[in-house]
Amino acid sequence: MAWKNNRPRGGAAAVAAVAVLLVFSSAAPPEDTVLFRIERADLDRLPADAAAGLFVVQELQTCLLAAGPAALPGELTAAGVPAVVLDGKAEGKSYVLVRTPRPEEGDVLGGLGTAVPLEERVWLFSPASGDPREILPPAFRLKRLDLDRSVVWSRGAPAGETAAGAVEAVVPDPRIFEWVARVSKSKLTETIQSLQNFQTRYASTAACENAGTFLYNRFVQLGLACEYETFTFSWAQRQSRNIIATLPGKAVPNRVVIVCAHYDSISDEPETLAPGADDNASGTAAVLEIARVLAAAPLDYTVKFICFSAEEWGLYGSSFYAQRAKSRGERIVGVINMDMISYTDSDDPLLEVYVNPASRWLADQYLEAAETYAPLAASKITDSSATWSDHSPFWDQGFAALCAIEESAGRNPYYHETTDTLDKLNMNYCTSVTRASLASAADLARPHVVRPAPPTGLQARSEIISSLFAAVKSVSLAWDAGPASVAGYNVYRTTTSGGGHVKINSRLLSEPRFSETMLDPATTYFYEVTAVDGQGLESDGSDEVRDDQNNDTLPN
Amino acid sequence: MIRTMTRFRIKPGPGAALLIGGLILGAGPAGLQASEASGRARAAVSIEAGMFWAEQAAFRRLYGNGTPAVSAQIRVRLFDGLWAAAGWRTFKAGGTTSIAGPAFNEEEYALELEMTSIRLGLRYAFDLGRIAVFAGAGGSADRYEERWVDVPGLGGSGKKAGWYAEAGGEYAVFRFLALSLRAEYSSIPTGKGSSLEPDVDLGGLEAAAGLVFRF
Repeated sequence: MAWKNNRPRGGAAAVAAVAVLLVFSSAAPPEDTVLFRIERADLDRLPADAAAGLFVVQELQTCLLAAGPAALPGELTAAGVPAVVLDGKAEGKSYVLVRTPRPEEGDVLGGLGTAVPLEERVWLFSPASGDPREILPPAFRLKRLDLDRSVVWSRGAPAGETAAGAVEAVVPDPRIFEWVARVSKSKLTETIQSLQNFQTRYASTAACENAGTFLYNRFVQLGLACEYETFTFSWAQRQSRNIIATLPGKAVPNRVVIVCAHYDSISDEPETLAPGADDNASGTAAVLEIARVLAAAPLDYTVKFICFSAEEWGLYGSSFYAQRAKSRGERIVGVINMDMISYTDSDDPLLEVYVNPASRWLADQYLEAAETYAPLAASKITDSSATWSDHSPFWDQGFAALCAIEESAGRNPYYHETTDTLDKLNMNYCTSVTRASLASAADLARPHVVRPAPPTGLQARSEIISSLFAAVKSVSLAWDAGPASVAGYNVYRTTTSGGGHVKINSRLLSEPRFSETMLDPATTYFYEVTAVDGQGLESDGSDEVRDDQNNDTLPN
Repeated sequence: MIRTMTRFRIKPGPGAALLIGGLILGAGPAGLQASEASGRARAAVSIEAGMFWAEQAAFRRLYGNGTPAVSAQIRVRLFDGLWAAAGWRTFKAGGTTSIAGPAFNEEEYALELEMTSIRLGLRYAFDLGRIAVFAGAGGSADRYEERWVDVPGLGGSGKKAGWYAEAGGEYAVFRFLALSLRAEYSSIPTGKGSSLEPDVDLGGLEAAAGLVFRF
């Protein structure tokens, strides 16, 4: 509704022109593509359907990068949404997002290619020649931009906003306490030492591939099904491998919780010495340790333990996985990415948990699990510009994901140096973070119990109730009644399909129907329902439905 | 009032504005021959009641086809038949919400819409003895508020500028008192809207009758 209230007068024709252009540009950027920037603060002036048609290639905290036909920026500007053209001829070019350690270091970029500042320490960069990873300092963090794919972005709550009560309180489970207690500091230390012993894990080197084989073998030794996922990366079309181990779910195996970290490393001598103990043997060791503890754990959902490669080159391994997961319809509940979790110069270290607005519920769940089971002090940071690790490609595909990382205030001075070695790490801190991540993953994947079957036949219809200056959405749900053992039902709602569902009924529903009103008409809502038996055990969610899914099929 | 409307046959939209504008221009030369009857009055006060028909279908769908409106005006003769006018107009409408798109439960909520305008304009009157015809136009400062009666906080309000054009006639019953019939077209674009109508304009046609006190 807000866009209508702030809409520029006399802009109807301009908005219509934008809508037409967006319809023709939303499927894929056309030839004669321009790359442009829109401030998020201006997006309220675009109708929801027009905004949905934007071909956004990167979401940042303050702005969106979008691609489209040459006329589109002008039309957007005329409609009151200033669009700044960053490259008038973007087709065929390769771009990376560059995050520099300090703002002034971005000046280096200008001499190496085309560089446009986007936010403090964040640059859009296209190299004059060569691969960005090979010409830029190792301290610069990269994310390759794919101008042929649009990303999922959040038009709703502005980044930085705190979401309260997004998830229900974690109910302590004695089994999770038991698993957390089995996390071993010595095994974490041993794994970090083993990874450090490869001398370098710089993607493209044989040592990195050997490290991948080492991880594969460790997962196999744990009795987990494991596979390599080979992908191509860099301007020179090199190859590397993600290592994927799977613990199948007992009740709903098609729902997947991902615990991941990148195992490649970098330094200023990447070909020969990049020990990467903190970045990111520590996160990789945590993935292995969580896999070791949970390998025999009965969990409702499938857990995938993934070690990504070529993160340091621009998040290639995780991008490859996330795109394929989206294509095959993988139902990812949440992604827990650990990247640098063992260095601290504090006696009372804090863990930072980065999420985008759509993943805030996941951070809430992680923080609560960390507090309940680890215990570990952690803070949630909502920042769509935190694109510097393997959680970001999952955000791009619309999956809930977080990045657990050591406190930025005590930034590791050995970061991306040949001196990033095990002796600099605080293994108590590493153990605590591993425990917190294990607790969060296990809670997300749900320790298995025999639960009622999820409700079937869920149908939804919605209507928009409007006056001249305001409108609300009303939604009605109905589903098949469960067996006599079902005591009632709960209804869950989210605005992000596939995750982040929040229970909306305050008391158990006795009838298989539900309706609510006074919802935002510009927002699409998704619903699931669960059945609860007489002992209070709740089923998995039903198939998800969109609020207007059955508007065309149900009679009036 | 309805007969008056029929005679004028003014249709909503820009055509109405052009017609009234033409009346204003056409009345200018004729007004040079304004009669003494109205020429003697230096000022006038009018009060009127009438019926407002909103131009936009969304308004009519929510609040019905006609809304009673009242207005008052003070006029001062500048020279010949040209008058300066300052006026006040208000209406309050009751209605119910409407479903935009597919309807299932057909929930309804009671609505109230209040609108008040302060107007400044010019009017040219052409005196034909006991009868005078006039046309005029001006600007308005408008304040509106829509409320969902049972849902506090839902609705919309604002202050916007608009314009109006008018034409009509007066019949002098006495030297100091006349009856008036008037038709006007107004436009008040709000720049706001909803799912039902993204760009609400609170203008439309109005037909009004009233009393004019001449001084």
